[in-house]
Amino acid sequence: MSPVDSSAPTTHSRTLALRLLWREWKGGELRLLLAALLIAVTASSAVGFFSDRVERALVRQATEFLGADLVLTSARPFESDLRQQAQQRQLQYSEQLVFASMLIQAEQMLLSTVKAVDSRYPLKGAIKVAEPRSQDSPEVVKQGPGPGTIWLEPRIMESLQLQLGDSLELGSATFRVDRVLLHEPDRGGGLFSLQPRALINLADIPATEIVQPGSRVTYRYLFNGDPAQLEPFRQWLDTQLKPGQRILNVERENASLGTTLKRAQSYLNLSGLLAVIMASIAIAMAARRFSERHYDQAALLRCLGQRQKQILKLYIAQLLIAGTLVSSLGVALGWFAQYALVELMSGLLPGDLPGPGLEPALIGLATGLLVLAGFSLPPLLRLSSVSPLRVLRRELNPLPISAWMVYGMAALLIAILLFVYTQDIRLTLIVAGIGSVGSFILGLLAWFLLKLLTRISGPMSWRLASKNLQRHPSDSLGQLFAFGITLAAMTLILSVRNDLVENWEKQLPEQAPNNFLINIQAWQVPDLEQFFQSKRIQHSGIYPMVRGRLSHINEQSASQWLPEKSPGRRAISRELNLTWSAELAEDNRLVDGRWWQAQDKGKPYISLEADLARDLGVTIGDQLRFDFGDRNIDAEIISLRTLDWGSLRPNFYVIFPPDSLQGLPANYITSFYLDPERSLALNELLQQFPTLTLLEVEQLLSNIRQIVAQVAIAVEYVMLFVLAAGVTVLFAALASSIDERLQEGALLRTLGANRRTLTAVLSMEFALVGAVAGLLASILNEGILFWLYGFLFNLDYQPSPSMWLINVICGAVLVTAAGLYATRRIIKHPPITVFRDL
Amino acid sequence: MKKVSESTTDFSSKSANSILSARNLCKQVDAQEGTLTILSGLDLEVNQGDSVAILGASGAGKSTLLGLLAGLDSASSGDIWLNGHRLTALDEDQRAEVRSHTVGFVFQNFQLLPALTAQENVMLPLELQGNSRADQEAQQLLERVGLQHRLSHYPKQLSGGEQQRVALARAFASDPKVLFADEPTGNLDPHTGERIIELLFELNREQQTTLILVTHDVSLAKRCDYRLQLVDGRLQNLNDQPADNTQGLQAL
Repeated sequence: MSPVDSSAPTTHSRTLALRLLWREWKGGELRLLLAALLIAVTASSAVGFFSDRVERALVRQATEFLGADLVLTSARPFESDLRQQAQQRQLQYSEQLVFASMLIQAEQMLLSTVKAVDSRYPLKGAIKVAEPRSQDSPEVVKQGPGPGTIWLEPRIMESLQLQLGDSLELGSATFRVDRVLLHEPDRGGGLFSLQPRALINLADIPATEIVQPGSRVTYRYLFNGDPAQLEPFRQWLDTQLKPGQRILNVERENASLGTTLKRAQSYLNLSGLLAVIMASIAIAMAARRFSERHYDQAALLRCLGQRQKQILKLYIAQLLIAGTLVSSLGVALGWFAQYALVELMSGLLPGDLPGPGLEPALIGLATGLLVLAGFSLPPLLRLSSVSPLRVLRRELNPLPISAWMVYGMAALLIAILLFVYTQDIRLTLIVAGIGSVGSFILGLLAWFLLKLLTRISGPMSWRLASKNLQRHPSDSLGQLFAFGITLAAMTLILSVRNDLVENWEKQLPEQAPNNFLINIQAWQVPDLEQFFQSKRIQHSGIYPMVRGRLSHINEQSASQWLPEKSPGRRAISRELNLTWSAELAEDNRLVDGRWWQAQDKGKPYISLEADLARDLGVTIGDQLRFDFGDRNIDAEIISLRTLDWGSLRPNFYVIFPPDSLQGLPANYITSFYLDPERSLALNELLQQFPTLTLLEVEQLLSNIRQIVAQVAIAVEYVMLFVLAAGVTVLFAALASSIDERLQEGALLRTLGANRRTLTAVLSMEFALVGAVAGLLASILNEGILFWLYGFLFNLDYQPSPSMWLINVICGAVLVTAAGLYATRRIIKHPPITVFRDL
Repeated sequence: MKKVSESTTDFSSKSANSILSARNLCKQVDAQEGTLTILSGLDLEVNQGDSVAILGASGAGKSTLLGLLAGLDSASSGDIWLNGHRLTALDEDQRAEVRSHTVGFVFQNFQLLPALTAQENVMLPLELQGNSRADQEAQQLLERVGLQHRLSHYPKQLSGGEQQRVALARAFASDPKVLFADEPTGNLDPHTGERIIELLFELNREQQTTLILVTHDVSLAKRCDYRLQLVDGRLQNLNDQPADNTQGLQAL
């Protein structure tokens, strides 16, 4: 009838694969698998694109606190010509001089921090200025004050009763007050630099005659640029550093913001990974169903003369083509999805979000193909081993693939994904290890629970449901596992989110101190206490502060004791603020040694902050000598403390017992919260204590709060994708056994079961699966959270019994709802139609 | 021209015209109760163009025999020659090669692929052989079986009779030398079954195909040149026996 090409060419096998693929698609056989893949790639790349952009924006915003990508501070002008260096390396460059000085207007004086900036300032972010009375509508400017002018913070304007256009003396020069300064990008340089601030032009510095040899000023050199150029520059700069010079980076600059950022990054990555893992489960289940529904086709192809290898090639080619197409589509959809996301959140995200990068696209594509290959190959391998005899005897199923291979492959793949998404080999190995052992234990537990269920007797619907579950134990186990992991992932994301946000909020409580008072003299302390009391203002303790230099460690000069590059050198290059206290502050925690008793009063003991102790290479029992100018004190370290630098309370590296620093010049410091609406009280305070210096940090606080709010919203959005991936698992897992359920349901109906009975049996079965999966999820969850909090987020772990209840109930409700929806055909259509469609 | 040996136990001569022959064919399977012998020392010789019906009680091993003769399964011992190939000496992939050029199948449950349309189902064997005119030829074949108006219908949109006609078109598409049919009318009502049998024998005549069919249907068996009964793992020739006796044996 037709010329037959007997060489059975492989060239046409690819076009055949394509044609079969198209027919499969039309016939609907591939839809579930590809939908799972599409959702996987869409979810993971949307998360990828979005997280990547938000992450970059957060880093940038944090850099804004610093004012540049890289900052060098120095007590003296830097020896090399940094401007030239920066030009050679195509880096943006700006220079600042920061010092404390008196601002004088008529007879009034006010100590403030003056920053002199050049015309390139600011390198990052923008300056906000306003009319004195209209702080609500700030004007954004991209350049600092011109020569001869000065910009002042509102508090200075009020304290010195200044108007715009007035003149003001600073050193030997006179300035015209030009703008009210509301916000400057790089003011977050540690809390004690937050005195009331003034901004002038760098060109005016010589005229002020303030900067003389030996005067206390800080030179700040700011650099911006491509990381590729910046990094070698930073390394070069590192080799040039002398005592008193520091390179600042984002993380170090602001403890509060740094940890928030880190946790947010970890969280977004974790969410992305979970979305992928969940979708992988959906793909594995859909691939299994695809494979099972193609036993007949494979048998027929064998019957028609196809060899095992040809059949395998045919299916792999189909999958590869479909996988590439769908993954590309998924990346494209993910790209759109993240745009929509950014649009939705435009009010909360920084206005100039960096554009989507190429990396998430590539990772999304690779993830799709990797997941498809890893999770669908094992079931596809079975297709090649289908016996051709199946065309005559349908009950002949191919030999099952070794469970070791299936789960081994899945574990390996998840480990690879884990590494790609976390870039952390240690984390990957730990999770993979715990995951494998945990899965095994969980599998055993699921098996045991399944056995237990059938032992319990109940009404007919219970009996049928539990028997059904036991009849196909491997299917039921698979479903329990899939639902269990999905539920665990969802609750994990939910509880981590809640705990993270709660933790952030706790770190910056609504009533975090927003004012610092310094320069308090000893004789003013009782009056001040009384003032606070009369105004019902809660303060965080009034601490004495003595400035001293750490000169010797264990009888050896500190600069000899510390190696050349030691981070501890920062502590010996400047004066430290020392204090004494009888009690341990509430946000301090003793990690080693003992706190002093009443009898230790006046003894030469100290309690040292733990990180500083590590940097200095000292521990309990070591001796430190402090130089107070005309006097030295040798003290023994008897305890180490950790403290929370983000708490906005006065905190000290070194604390002495009471009476140990007697006779040394001390002034006092405190912080307190005052409702911004009651700010008039501040004026009263300054009137009563005119010599005190008040530092307001409300602006810094609201900046940090805004960032925390943004991170929380990003976290919630990413959670939506994880939930979407969870829904696909739900449906893929249900679809994996839908044919059997449909058939059994139709059979029950032909045997006379009415819709109500049938609904009861089905509901019971789904609810059982859901509830047991919920139980497994809770066990899994507790394990993961226990480890995650300790290891990744450094949060306190607390088991949550309510989560168990929620998991079990949610599991049962979700699986029942989705299950009834998926099997609605049994209820709605006559059994004969159901039989025919199977 | 058509020759099946007189005795079921003694096949001594092998005709030059032989297309399918089995010698001392045994098939045993491991069961829970021990080894189960399904076929024991079975002999058979079929010439080109013969039509042979294999009858037998349920569980007698008819489908097992069909699977072995078509090269879908391997025998425990004995030999099978199909179109000059000694199947028992070939591995599964080599048997697949023989099947692809020699054999066509019709099944009781039609075995149409649910995801493919009628035309695509018929095209499949042609495409596997790399035939570039697969779609035209499939269309012609479907016209031949009277389904020109059903080309793009999916199996579940077709009646049982229509599905079996698609299966017939597919079976004859690759121009097989031997057509194996396993209860081709088993799932059809008598009237539809009758029409399918008509069609099967028409196509068989047109294409000079050798037909081996396993059936319970006596009227179908009667239309074959030879009727063999599978009893205790061996074949008995029923051609010389009266029809009512056949019916009696069938009841076994």
